[in-house]
Amino acid sequence: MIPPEMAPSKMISSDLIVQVRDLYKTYQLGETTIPALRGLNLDLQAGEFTALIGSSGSGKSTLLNLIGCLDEADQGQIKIAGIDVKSLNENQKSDLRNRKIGYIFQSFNLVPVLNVFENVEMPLILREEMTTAERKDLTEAALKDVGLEDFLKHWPDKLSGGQRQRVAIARALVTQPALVLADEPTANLDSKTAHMIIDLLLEMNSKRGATFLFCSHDEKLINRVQKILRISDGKIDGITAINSGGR
Amino acid sequence: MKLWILAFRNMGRNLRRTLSTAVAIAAGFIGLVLLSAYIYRTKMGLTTSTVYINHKGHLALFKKDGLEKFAAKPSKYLISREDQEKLQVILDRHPDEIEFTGKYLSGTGLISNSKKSIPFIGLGIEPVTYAKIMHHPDLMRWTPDWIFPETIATSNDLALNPNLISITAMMGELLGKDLPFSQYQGEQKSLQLAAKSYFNDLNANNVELGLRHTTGIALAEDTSLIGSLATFQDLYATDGIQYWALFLKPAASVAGFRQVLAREVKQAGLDLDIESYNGEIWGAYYNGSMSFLYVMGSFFIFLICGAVLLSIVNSTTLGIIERMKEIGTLRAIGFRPKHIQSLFWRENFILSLIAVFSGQVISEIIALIVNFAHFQFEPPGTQGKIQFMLATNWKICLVMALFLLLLNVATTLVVVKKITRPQVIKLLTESGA
Repeated sequence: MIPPEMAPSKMISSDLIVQVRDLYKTYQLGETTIPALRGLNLDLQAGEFTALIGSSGSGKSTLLNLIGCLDEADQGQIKIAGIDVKSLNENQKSDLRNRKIGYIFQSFNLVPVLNVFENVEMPLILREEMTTAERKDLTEAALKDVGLEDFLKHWPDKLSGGQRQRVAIARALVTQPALVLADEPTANLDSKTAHMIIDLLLEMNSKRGATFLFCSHDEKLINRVQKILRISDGKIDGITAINSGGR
Repeated sequence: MKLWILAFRNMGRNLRRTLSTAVAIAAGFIGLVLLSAYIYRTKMGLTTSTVYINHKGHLALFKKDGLEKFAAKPSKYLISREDQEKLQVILDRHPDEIEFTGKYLSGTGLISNSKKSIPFIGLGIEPVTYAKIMHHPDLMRWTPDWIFPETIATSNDLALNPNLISITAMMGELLGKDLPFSQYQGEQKSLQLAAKSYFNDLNANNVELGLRHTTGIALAEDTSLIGSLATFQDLYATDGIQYWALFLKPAASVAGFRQVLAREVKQAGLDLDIESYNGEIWGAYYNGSMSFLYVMGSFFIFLICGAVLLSIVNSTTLGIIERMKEIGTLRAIGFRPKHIQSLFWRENFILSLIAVFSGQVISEIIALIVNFAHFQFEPPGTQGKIQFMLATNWKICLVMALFLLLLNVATTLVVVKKITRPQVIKLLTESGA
């Protein structure tokens, strides 16, 4: 049974999509305890296009993973679209990821035995309430948005890096999520392709209205966002708002 | 459906490992099918031998305690003519279960050729029943080595001449009579039976040699004698019988019909015991042999299933380790742990299904070759060699296939559940194999 609050998102620009309060996370490396996040606070509004920057080991990926419900915090509160993730069990977290969050990985993470269409359709097959025709329409629309409508039957290993990342973006967006998380989405791409992917992410942000939060070292990407969150020693130590967002 | 497609395609990702796992499952299944084919063939052979060749019937009605005490005090444990008439009424009510019946009387004595006497353990049988038994299709199917063409050809002779007796080749040898017994004419085929009647008088009968049989059991081969019921009743001076054997139709349940019969016998006021061919005392040889085979079979099934199970555990574990990142990705896009489990059990289910089907085909071919080759062997305790035959049975194969499929699915679920338990991020950051 799908809780009503997990129904497909309808964006209200003033809504808070992500609320993080006093977040702590440590890692155990042998006998050494490494603090990754130390009481971090963060708010993200609906539709924001935000970059998370910081030095290596500053806690960017940890924060992204915690917001994406891929990992569990030691302490603190995370609310996604008003839902406190700590109150959810494993299955409810899976449903939340499926219905509210899209995840774009650095190395694309496509399933090699599925073609482009099937890879993008994958998150939708979990939606029991959805018909095959509805799944097909949404998948084709997502692939059209990323310019891969002519590559439906192609296998991932026959695509270029940029095309693979487009498939991954389409997969992240096909469920019409409220929040899209991306961990170094352009790190594995050449400069030209990275530029195209940045354009595409911005376009999707604008067209689909989803909130984008990504961590990156890519100056080209960082220079085109609306808001930059600087993370240092496990805390947000600076927020830079850029009104035009470079668009 | 999408999960089935994904599962099917995943099988092709590491073809060598998929193939080796399939071969292990198929080999295990072939082992199970051939083992069951041997046990099934032995069971059917022993059943046929016990029920028909040894005249025990599927069920046999004895006077209360008669099975154990008849030999010591036969006159007390005879089923009287009056009781036989009452019993006939009950048996006539069950044409759907009973194919035919036979009245029997057994006893011991001496058989003589005028020069030499040797002991016999004889069985008196109704000639019509004898003929029906010898023409029964189960004999040709399951015990062709223990039923001679001449026995079948001469089986109606007992009805024509109730003085005929059937002896084994070994008893013939002891009496100085060579095969075929039909070569003897006139005085040459004349033999005498002498015994103490059930009322302690000495009695003797003239009989004629003409028929041959084998018990299939080495220990019984030098003393076994079969004659007409009339001959034996005459010899032991009685009109009673020791037991009434019931030969049931294939569809009838022996245990079920036994219960029904016991109830009706009791209601009729008859003091009778009902024994089945697989009982501990009445079917001692069958019971002992099959118990041994079942224990041996269970041991081998345990070994085979253990090997298959380890192969599945190994293959699934490697598959999961290699695909940790992918499992993490699927979890990240919303797959629940149960979806991941169902993906893997589907993979192993498809693989097992293909392996089981291939194993069945190969088993049938092996069974055909073995049966065609006519290997002969002498099982312990049996008389003479018999053909080593493998008889596959579709019901047993189906049960074993389902068992193997369930075992594989259950094993997969246990392995997947254990390995995919960590947080999604751990799955995503695992380097894999």
